[in-house]
Amino acid sequence: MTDPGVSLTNVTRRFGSRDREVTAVSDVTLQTRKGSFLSLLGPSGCGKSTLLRMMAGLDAPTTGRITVEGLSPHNLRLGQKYGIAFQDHALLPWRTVRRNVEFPFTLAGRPVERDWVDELLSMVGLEQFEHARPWQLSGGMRQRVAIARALALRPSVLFLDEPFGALDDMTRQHLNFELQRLWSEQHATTVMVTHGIREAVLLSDHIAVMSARPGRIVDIIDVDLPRPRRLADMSSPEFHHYVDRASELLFAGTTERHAS
Amino acid sequence: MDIDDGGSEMTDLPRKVRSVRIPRRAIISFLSAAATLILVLLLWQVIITTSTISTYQAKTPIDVWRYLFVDGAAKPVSAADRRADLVPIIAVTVFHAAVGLIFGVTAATVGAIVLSLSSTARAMFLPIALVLQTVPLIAMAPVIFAVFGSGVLTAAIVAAIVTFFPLMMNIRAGLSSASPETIELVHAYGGGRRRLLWHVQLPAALPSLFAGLKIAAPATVSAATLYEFLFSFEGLGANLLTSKSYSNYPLLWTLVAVTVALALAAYALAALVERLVLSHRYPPTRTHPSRRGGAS
Repeated sequence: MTDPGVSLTNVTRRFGSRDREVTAVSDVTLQTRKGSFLSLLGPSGCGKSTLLRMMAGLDAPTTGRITVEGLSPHNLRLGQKYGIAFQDHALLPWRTVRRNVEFPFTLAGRPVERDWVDELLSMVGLEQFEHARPWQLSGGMRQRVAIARALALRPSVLFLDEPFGALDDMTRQHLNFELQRLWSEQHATTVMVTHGIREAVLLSDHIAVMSARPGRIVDIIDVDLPRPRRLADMSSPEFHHYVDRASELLFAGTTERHAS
Repeated sequence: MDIDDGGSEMTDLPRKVRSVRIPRRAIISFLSAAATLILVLLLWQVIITTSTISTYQAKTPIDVWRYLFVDGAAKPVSAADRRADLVPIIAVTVFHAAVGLIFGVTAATVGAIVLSLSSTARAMFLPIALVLQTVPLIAMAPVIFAVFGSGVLTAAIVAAIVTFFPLMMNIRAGLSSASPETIELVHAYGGGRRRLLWHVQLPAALPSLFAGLKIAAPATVSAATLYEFLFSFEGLGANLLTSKSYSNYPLLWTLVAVTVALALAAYALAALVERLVLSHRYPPTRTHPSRRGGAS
């Protein structure tokens, strides 16, 4: 392995007091290399969002160690080294589209790079809507603004928490291809939380399949499909092989839980 | 504060929204307000003329009109002189109310920010504020007068007491209306409490601030009048009292009408400022359901 991407060693996160403790994430260990795309795939409640929040320094593991590109999540966060997008677009309604994309500059106390914001807006196809407010846009457009905002500070790391989870299938698939393009242009170390199997296979280099209660990694699938991946590739036997493999692991994780 | 002023350089989309939606709503609300006013005046006129109340004491809208605009209807003979006499009285009340409102809004904003920052302040201060809220102003007023004497400071304190609590609770609700994801976003980019407050919480609280302001603005007019009524020899409140003791009923009723008009004007001013600040920047709240959803 060359430069490290995300590195998790025996990461466990427990919530609650001693007598009523819930283990959200149990003993997760995984490594990726810099610039790779990792998906955390699992049913809801499997701790995948908790895992992402810990990598982003928004939550801390109870035990275990996390580094991202060699930095602790805390330093990664304070150094504004990553961009992040949530399922809820979290756009500020009183700011225009452009000023929402510029928001990370404001938060980081850096001067706005106007040319780069122009470029970002055209990359997500919203240059004509730069002066509109988020509440005047469709759900898909809002998520594009959120993605552009995540890229604003040219982060070397990108965290995506079900970024298209609230969208319809058509819009979602469309945005997934756009995301692939943006990701390949930015070379960012990316971690995406999703419960969409096909979405995970389409975008990822590695898929960490998780099971719930306690959240742990069942297996890691390395997706060895050529890039860029196109719509036609999604009906290839190789693609289906990965989808089937991920489904099996997900299913095994749930049946195992019901059996116990 | 972090409010975006992109209003003048809007794209086609919001301009369309602007030219269709706002004027129609404005016209409707203007017409209904005018209709209400006419109805109230009519009721006032009819009740007094049909009842057995002495017309010497009970005056109608027409009497108020005559007092304000008809020469020889009262003394002094010239209606213009009578109007000129009213101006300094109104000015004093407007001054008292304005100082009181500024006092109240500032205190409420600071209070709401402190409450949202500190759980200790919440635990300590909120019960006290609640108890104070239940004490009738009329019971507190002599105490305030005893401590601060007669003057604009006392007027401001009385007005602030009336407006402080409801305004503070409104602003506080607004400050905590930011979504958890938005707060998370600020943290994700290394932003602390100060940036969160300035860039997210305060702008998010503006709509509730204005909602509170529309109640507080007319309330400060009545608070100012109350202060003048109790402790002062100037302004609408004090003159209501003296016109009554001099049995100058045309003046008394005119002063009542002016006080009501002033409270309505205070509301209208708050509503106007709200519209100027919020519209096009914040999601419309009272649109017709079929117009919702935006352009996609």
